[in-house]
Amino acid sequence: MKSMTSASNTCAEFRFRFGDFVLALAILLASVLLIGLWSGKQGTVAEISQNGRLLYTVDLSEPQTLTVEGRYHNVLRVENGTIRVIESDCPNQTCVHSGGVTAGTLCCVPNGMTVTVRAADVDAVIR
Amino acid sequence: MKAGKRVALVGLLAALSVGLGALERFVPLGAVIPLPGVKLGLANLITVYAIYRLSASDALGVLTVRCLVSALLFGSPVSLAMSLSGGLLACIGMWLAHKLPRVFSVYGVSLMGAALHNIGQIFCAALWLQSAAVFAYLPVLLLVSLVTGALIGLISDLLLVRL
Repeated sequence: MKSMTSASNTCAEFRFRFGDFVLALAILLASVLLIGLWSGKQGTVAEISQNGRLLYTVDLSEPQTLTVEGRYHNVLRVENGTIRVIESDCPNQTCVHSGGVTAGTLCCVPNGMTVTVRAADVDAVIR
Repeated sequence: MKAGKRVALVGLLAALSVGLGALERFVPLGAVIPLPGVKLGLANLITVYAIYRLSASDALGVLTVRCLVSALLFGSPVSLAMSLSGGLLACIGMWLAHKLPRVFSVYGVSLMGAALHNIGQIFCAALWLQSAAVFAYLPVLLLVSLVTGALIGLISDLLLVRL
């Protein structure tokens, strides 16, 4: 054991150093940054309903194509985190012209179809 | 230091470390901060002490023995892996920090230890669970490590002045 009388690497009480504060700040910033980054990457889902009835809940991170059949036929495409109607045989075609949404809603009124985009409520499932 | 004395000292510190680790289970920090793995890190007190008073290999020895014994007594192979990843990373970081006494005081060293310990454990968990989702815990754990690191730093400061 190093000599107990040697005080060369003992800090006197409450003597802080510049590096301590820098480190504390760095940790604080890192945690804030991580919270920001993480909530951005959270999966978003689209809920596709028809006439008030929920048909599908779709994860927007995976590309896929879905069809909603009703009075009319809507084809929805999920790509690059957005969802849009690529094809529809409804009379006004408003839904097709709405383009892609990453948040909010999209609908085909004649077909009674609505799409609502919201944040996923489950972070992850750990088995 | 004679070899026998060294063995005894490292053993003593390691045992103390295990004891403190067991003792802190009585502090229900999990009730205040409901995250897995949130601890006061009292055992780190011994590690910090070892770093300041012993050689690098001895400090590392104290840490490794502590992790092994703790895992054998209270944990599982998984907890050993997590404990070691956090502990080894923390030990290395703390050693380096303590080698720069003009930059870091014992508080900085302790903060370094707390933060790195959590980071190491999260990385291990992510690898084990094959999931990046665990990183979601990291921000809060880091914030908690600021507090626990400072607390352990305070106790270490008081300890190192006297011992």
